[in-house]
Amino acid sequence: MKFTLPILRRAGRAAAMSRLAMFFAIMGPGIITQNVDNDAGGITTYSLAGANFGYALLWTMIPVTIALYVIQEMASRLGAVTGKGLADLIRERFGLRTTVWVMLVLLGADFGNTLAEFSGLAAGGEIFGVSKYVFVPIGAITVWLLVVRGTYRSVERIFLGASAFYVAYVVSGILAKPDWGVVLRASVVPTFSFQAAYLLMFVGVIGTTIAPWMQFYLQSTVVEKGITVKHYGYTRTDVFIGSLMTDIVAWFVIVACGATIFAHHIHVETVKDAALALAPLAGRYASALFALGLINASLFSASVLPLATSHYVCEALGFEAGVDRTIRQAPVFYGIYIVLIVGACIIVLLPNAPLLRILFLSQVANGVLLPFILVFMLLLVNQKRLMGAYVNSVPFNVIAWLTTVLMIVLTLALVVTQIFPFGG
Amino acid sequence: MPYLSEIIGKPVYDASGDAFDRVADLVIYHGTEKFPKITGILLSGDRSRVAIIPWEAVAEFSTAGVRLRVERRHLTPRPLQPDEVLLRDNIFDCQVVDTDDLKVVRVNDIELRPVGTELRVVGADVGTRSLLRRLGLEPIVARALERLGRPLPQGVIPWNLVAVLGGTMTPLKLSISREKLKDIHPADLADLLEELDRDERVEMITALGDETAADVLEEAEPEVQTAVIQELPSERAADVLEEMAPEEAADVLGELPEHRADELISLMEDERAEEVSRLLEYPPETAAGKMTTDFIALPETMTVEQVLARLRETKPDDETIYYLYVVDAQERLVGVLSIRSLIVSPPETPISQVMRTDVFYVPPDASVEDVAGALVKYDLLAVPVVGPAGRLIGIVTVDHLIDILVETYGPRKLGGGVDLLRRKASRESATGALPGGPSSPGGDRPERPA
Repeated sequence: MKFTLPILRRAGRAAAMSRLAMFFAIMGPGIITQNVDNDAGGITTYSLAGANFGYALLWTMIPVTIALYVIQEMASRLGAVTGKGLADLIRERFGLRTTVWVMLVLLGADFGNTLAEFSGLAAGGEIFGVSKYVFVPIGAITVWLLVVRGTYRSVERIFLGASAFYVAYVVSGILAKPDWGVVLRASVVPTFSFQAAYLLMFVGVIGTTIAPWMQFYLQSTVVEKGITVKHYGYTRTDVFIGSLMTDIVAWFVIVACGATIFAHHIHVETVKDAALALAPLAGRYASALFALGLINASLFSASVLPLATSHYVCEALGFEAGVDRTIRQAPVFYGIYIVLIVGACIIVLLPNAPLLRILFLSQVANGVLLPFILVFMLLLVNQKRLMGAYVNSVPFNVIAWLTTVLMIVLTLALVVTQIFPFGG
Repeated sequence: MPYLSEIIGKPVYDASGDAFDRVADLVIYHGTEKFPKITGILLSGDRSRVAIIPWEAVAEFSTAGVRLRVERRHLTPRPLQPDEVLLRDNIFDCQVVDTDDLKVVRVNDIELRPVGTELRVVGADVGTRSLLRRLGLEPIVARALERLGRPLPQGVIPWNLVAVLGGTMTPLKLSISREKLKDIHPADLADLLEELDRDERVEMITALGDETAADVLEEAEPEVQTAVIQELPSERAADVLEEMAPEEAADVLGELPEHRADELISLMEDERAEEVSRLLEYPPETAAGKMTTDFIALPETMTVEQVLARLRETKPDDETIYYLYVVDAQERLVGVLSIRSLIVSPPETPISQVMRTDVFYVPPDASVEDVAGALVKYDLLAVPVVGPAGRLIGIVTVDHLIDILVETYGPRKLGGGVDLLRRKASRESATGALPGGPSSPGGDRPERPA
């Protein structure tokens, strides 16, 4: 006698639909990470790239997307196979001393990144004529409430929703009415200049797209979602879509600024200048959307970055962590979190804060850390003991090591050019 | 008192005094001993990490190095045994469970103690002091803090209170894990489960019996529940789901991919499978989606005496015994009987005479908020869910509802200040049982506020 089951409440979908449903269930880590990546620092860099160099950097978007995908794919595979975060793996495989150094630099770099988010928030508010002394504290409180009061699921939903908001940049790009023929050609035909300013921008664009914290963040969200190798295929798609989305947004930001500000030979130095310059050239809506996009990006990343950072540091060093703890239970965790947020807030609001200097130092910290992280990841992902059958294939290793070496050269170049400024 | 970090990398001398290699790792036999002894040494020169130098070959041992009894060429290395564990590789820097404080902690160092010719593991060091020691900062910071009058505390957990999870699961290892976890309340185990990595979670659930595993899973967060059920072998997952309350099992199954849920349901025993499948058909955020089908329904024709006899016989759970629902021949809800009226009424009274007939109930599609509202407003411990034609199909208990509400509205963990008496007792018994008499390493662990 065969016992047949009544139809489940979620049953009744065609096979193709259930695959799609599976994807939506697993979707998230990749897309969220990539969109956090398009944070205030990213938007600033892309808009300045477009405003000062037109379409000359558009071609980098394709190779950057590939590199981004290759690296992020490794991070998510590490998470899916081992079920552990990157900080944990580094601690378990490379020892305490290494971990402490990595965590210290990561802390420094992410303090800078948080600072960038809050200065993005300040800039976004000022474009609409709201004082930063009002806007930044409100933003900080919003972030705090979202993170400490929200549940994992609701926060993820809000984040996925916020990802959709990046369409603002696509619309701004279209409103800027670029010459699409020229734009498309510039996207596939590499142009290169050895002008110092161009090199700096080139390195900046790549450096801001691939950052150390992303690898930690992506890997632990993959773990937290309970994704295993069985469903890893969907995550790979998720990571791919995420990489693509990030760079499409970046591409539109460059196009928007290139078609307007660069075409009219207006010199801008900050993202605020760029947004304001858009208004007479591409219309008020383009400018407003641009600013809204910036505020969204800043809030989004400010919610994710500081929290994630204090998580990794605490987990790697064995302190209690998590927003479901009280401050008394997890003092180090909250301590780091509060210092990151409140510290960044205060510095942004100081009248004469050396903001550019601090942002630069954080860029250096990011740059110094990234090669180490990439090498650690490559070593880990190639350990048979850890990954079993899921170690890198040879072609993948070639691409990954090439990417890593290239990133090392480029970030070194960035650091060197920043320390010894030459030319313009 | 040597620490593992002080021994790794130290030279190994043979009988002729030749420093021919360095210590890469120490091996313990992961057996039933409270404080396992070191059974062998792994050398740095052994790249394949398979040849263990047996501890019997060691003549002298200190933090300066290890001297062997025999000459290098007379060494007889042996392979690593299934129940042996490499201290540095598998425990050092990894997460373990402090079964006394009920926390998942990261091992910064491992404390060893020579007992006669043996060397034994006596504790896992998880404190700040050990972090500093490994960074080479211990003397400086310790002196500075002492000057401030706040000496750096030790953070050593006696080894018998440490549960090492993860890694290969041998039957012996599982039985030891079961032994170490057996006194912990399922709700505390659920908290620990959430902290653990994937493999460690699977080991914890594998080590526990079906019933305890089910209790633990019921208390865990939904994400953890689905992750664990996904990872367990299908047969075992189905066994655990069978032991869970049907509504909890349905909640977990509802979160799983369809084919996996179908597979697990088909492995469950027919009666449970049917119950769970029926629950799965209800939308999750309604009364029917949250109700339990474990409730007591009595035919209205019974007498007080018969009911009492039935209760003695079936021994219902404490959650369901407070309300005894009375139904007619068509399973329609006609009344509710309190324990009080059962006790105070003469035995031969028909229950239809002592039951209350004005019963609050909710329809299957009532929202969770409405159900909560009804429970609060009428001060009920449970509310019946009544389906079409007045049939009683389940009850929502206040207990289950509180879980749901806390999940929705309060992410912060509750009950952090609760302490069980048992924990104090286990610490006292632990310190007495240490090898080497009364001066135990657990003794200088700081007192915890009660």
